[in-house]
Amino acid sequence: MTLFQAILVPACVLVAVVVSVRTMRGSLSHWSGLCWTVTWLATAFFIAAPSALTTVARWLGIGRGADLVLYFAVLTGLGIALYYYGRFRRLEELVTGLIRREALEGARLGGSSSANELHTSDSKLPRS
Amino acid sequence: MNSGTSSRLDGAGKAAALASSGEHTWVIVPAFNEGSRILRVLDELTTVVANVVVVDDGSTDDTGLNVLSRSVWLVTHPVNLGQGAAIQTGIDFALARGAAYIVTFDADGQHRVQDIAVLLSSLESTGADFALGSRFLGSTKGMPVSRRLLLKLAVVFTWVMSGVKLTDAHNGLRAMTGRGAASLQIRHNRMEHASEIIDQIKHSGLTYTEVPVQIRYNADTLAKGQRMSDAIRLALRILLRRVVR
Repeated sequence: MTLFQAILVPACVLVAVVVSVRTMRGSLSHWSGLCWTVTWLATAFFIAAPSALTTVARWLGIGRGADLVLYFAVLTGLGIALYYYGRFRRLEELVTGLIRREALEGARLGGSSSANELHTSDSKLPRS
Repeated sequence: MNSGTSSRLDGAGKAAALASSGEHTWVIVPAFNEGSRILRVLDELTTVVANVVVVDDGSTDDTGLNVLSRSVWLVTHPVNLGQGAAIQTGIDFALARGAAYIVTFDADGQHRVQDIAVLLSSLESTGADFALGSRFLGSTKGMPVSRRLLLKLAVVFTWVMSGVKLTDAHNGLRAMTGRGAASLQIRHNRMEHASEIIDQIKHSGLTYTEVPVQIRYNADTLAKGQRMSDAIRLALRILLRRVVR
């Protein structure tokens, strides 16, 4: 076993254990916890046995294990980016709705009757 | 209707009539850091329409204070959200106050108040729910070549994405009926809203018409215009939103 393997394999297993404990304590959903635990254990396994990764890559028709890792990393990265973009969009819509509501409640008429606040009890105002 | 219907009317005459008859017509002016230009726009607008709402989109200059010196409504976003969000806020405000017709009008002085009456008359004469201003049907002069190219690309992009063939897809001067406005739910906060509105018009099944309008191009109104890099970013955001809802 190389130094790299000696450090990373226990580290990955430790992370898998932490994720499992957090899942059992309810900090993570069962599905999410299972996925992360499997991912970390698989990472530990393929670091410990690189030839197994090459076997899987050949079986998938890719050839090299390094290429398999690269494709997987790119696709996972894209997936994560899209997931967080979606979350960002939903959060932005939520914030926009709150800001809009506050803005509408504070509408003012200028001119001679300046600072004519539109009262928040105005039932005509939209709420979203 | 539905494509390029021209309604060239006597804008000045109609504008005068609008002042007395436009009780249920609201003009929405989204504004961001327009302190130096907003008063000129409001002074022109208040001569032809009774109901004006300025949506100050988180300006850091004196836009809001200036607006309050005129007899118009001011709605203030505490932070800058973008023109699309400001227009939707203005639509919500106007509809809550019983608007029968709503006009969107830019705060930088590039639009002419005479064209408001032309748009509204077009809605009435054609029975359409949306009257979209088109500078390419009108007699716009002084448009830079780069801007013309950008706008033509936007037309093609909108055609491809929405299947709606317009002559001007990104004109901020448009009018709509209350029914048309109520059908809109602008979710793109920034400049993509122009394409989104066209998309929503198509999916709502409501009718639209294009109306010739004139855009004033000068150093002042060109100062905040869209650049090619903005357009590319805008197109990417629209494409991304098609993937991630």
